[in-house]
Amino acid sequence: MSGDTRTDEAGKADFEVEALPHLDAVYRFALRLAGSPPAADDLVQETFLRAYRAWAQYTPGTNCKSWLFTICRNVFLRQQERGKRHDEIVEENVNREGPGYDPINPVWSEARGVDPEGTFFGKIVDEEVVRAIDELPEEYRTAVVLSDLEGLAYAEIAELMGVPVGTVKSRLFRGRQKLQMVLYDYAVEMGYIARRTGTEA
Amino acid sequence: MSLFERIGRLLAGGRFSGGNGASGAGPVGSSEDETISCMEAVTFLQEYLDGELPEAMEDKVESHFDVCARCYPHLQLEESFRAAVRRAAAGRSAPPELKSRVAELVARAERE
Repeated sequence: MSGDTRTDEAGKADFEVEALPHLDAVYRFALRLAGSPPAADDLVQETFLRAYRAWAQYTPGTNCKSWLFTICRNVFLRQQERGKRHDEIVEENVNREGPGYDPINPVWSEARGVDPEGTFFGKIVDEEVVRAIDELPEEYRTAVVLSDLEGLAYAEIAELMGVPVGTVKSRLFRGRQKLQMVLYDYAVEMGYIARRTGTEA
Repeated sequence: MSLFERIGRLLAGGRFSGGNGASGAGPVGSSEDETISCMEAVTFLQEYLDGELPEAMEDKVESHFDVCARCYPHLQLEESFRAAVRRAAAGRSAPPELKSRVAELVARAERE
């Protein structure tokens, strides 16, 4: 489809009908990427501006929300990279995937005999949960946010992040476990759960 | 043996393993009639909760957590975690000022 037809009146109307309704979702994602409302604001504006300019590249009726999320994340990552030296970027990417994911969640062992159903999660205030999410490394955070908060399927997240589905699962499952362990430690500090001493059943 | 485990054994015709690896279920990808082990159930727990399992495996995983007293708390813990995450961060709307600003930006871009 040529650029001309997509930036004519019908194309502009399409953008308003198809893309703008996802502004809330893009804002939520931007908040988790950028960490503060002002930074998220800027990120959202930049995202929609670029989306509008690139509208001819979007195939109507396909997953517009994912398309916008992709742009949002790419803008964010490019902003991050600009502040870093090359060796810092390489250092972060080396061995990030690390050892394989273990389906036996370490938090299960910690909570066993004390609160195996994890009711302690429900006692943690929202601000602390959000803070723990925001402190995750970006690839884990993005996978968790897109799956658990925005309901994207593995395949959608894979396309958005430009990685195989297996990598998405690894980042998602390990991201969740990391997040759970941070929240567990916080719950112990706050007395919502007693730290397991090894003598429970 | 708990009541749940006894029911499990009855349903599985004695092949309900309790996770010792010696079950009749064999490698992942059990045949139609076989139930799954605890190890398989927890291996697929995340995908099950994400709705990403094919229907046949989804049914097997669900049945396992229905009958296994040892595994069921793991499911509850994962659900408790997900509920806390959703409650803390889901569904927020963008501020109205941001919506106006974006509409303005798009209108300006349209005129270019």
